[in-house]
Amino acid sequence: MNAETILDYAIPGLARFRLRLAGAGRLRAALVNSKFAALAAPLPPGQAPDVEMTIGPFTPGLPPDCRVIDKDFWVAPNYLWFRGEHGRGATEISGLDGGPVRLRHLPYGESPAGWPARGLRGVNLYLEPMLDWWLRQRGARLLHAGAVATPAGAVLVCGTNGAGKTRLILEWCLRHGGVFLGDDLVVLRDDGTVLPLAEHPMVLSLRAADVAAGRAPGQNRLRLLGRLWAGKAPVFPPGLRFGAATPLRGLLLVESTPGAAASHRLLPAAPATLWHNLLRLEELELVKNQRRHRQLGNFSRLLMAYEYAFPGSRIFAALLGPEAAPVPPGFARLPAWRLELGRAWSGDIAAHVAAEAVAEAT
Amino acid sequence: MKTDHFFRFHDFLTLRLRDTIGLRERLLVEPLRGYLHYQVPSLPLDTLDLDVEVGPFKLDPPADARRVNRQFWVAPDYFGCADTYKVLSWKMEIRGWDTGRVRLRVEAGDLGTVALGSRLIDCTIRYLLALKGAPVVHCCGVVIDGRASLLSGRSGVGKSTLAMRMVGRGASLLGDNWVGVNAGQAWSFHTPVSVHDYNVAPNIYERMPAGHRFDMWGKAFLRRLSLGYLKKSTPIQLRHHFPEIIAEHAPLRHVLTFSQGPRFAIRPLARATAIRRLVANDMMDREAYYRYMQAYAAVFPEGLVAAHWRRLGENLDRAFPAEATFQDVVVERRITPAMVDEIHRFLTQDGVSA
Repeated sequence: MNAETILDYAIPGLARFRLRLAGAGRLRAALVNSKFAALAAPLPPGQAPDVEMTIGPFTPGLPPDCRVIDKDFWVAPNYLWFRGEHGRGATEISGLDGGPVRLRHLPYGESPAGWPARGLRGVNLYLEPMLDWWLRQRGARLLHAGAVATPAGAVLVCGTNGAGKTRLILEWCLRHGGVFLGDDLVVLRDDGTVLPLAEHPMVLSLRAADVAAGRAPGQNRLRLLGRLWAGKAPVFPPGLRFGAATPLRGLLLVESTPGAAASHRLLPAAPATLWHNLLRLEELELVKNQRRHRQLGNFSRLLMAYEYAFPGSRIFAALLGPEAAPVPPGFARLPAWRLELGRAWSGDIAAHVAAEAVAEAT
Repeated sequence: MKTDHFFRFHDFLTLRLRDTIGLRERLLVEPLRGYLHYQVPSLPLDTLDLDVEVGPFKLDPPADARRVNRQFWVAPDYFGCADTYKVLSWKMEIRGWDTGRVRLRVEAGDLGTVALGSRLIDCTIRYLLALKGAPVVHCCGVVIDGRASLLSGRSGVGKSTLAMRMVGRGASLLGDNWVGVNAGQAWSFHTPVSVHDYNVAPNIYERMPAGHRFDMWGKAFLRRLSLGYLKKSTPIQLRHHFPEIIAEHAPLRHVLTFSQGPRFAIRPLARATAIRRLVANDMMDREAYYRYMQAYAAVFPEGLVAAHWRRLGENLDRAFPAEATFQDVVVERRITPAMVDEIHRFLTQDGVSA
């Protein structure tokens, strides 16, 4: 068991971020690392990371003038600390008003102490949106969406959890000539360039193998842990190509409609509406796990508490506020579609239809 | 067993509550308890703003419904879901978010009845009132010298405690949890007043019926036994026991927004800043309902639901009179008599004119 595991990553040209895990065993370090493994990049000596998250016990450095909001949130300018239920877990964030982001997180009693996934939920709930906030201040954003590069340019594939994004994207890339950019997270620069982000490359490789074998992508939890334990590198099926930064040329919203369409239905959509669909889905991501995390302060509640203490904060306006985000320039001219997927949809046929439509429109 | 109950909230909203629940749930929590103050014998059915049915039903999403986040069903003007929180579970189906004439059906699972009032029906009432330009503020409303002051803040900050102290000094009450605002006036929203043994005003305590006192002692005992974890309040229907402290509406003068901090202070707050704070407070109150609205807004980003929070801010700005003052009040963890004096002086001396 290592005293501390330090994992460094970079989104080229935009952010360098670091994860520090206290007392993590080999499997846990490998599992937490696997989320951003594709971005691994050592930090140059003498340089501090832009965003840093420490997972493990810590003592909060409360500023003297903290306000207490909702009994749980200790808030000061640029600073927030909150305890989980009965003090079993805690999270401390600084950098809410700008500047380097520092997160310290003690995982809650949701999983046993030695559980391999311990801390990973904190990465999803707190590091991801704070990384998004860092990128927002630098002309980019972390989007909860997938993307496929086609000869004409990148197509952003958005949709809620479980709508079928991953399956559609993998079918598209394996059988219909698409190039993989991301299936859950991508970075969109304000100039309209999609930067690739292969999140969880090991999970992706297992899902891609499922799709290559003609199955729906599964959870593969045990296989995942087995491979990480054995220290194997992800092996992708031949035919899955990974792309580089690509200009955005189309939008596709995937929706699960089990009652209406038997298989699938492709409809034209207004790009501005689709952009707002995407933003609202992002906000829904911030309140995910609310069911379990109400007491623990999911990210949306944390932002609301900060806004309550300091009304008009930029982070609240950027990530959650009621002000409608302007549609980026150039979006209004992009071709956009809604793909309704019924109960008996076929990934192969739906990907074919999407690829054809994109080829025709561009 | 099917019973219909009708309620009218001033001239802003009419509600029918039809309950078909069984005896067991009825013993746990009476679903209409929160609205008894506004009960009327009957209302014409074709003008109802909100029609609520509490009781067993089958979730019936239209054929074109989409699934959002695996558990929510969204179709034009339709939202349905089955949800849980800890040991509570419930089903709900809502039609009319985008038209303003809402039909809501809720079914509680085991122990779920307690969740219904605060989470679903209340949130729908507040959504509709905001839509109609009479937004509801999460606060205690007190009337002193014929003018209304709102004491707003997150739960546990001491709103009710302070309001009870003000009542003890002769103020009357517009609401213990919510107050409506419209056209420069504060409008009552009387739900049962929640009192604890540590915050009940002496003049209320003296006249509390024996049953309520017994209930309060029992809950205080439970709280001590559980080291503060089980904190239950005793609900008192003001209309029955304290009719003379009820106010129905009054011109609005002060809005005090509370938070806890190291040192007691009252500082003026800019109007726009205060309104942002009230909107953030409203968002934090919604909990599960907030997710439902976000799921619906994700599919229909141009509908009424998606614009709700922006509209709430605009409507609050329109509803507050020009002469209203807004204050940022920091209170210490325990409300001391000195703080009560200071706030009472501020409200009676008409704030800045003192």
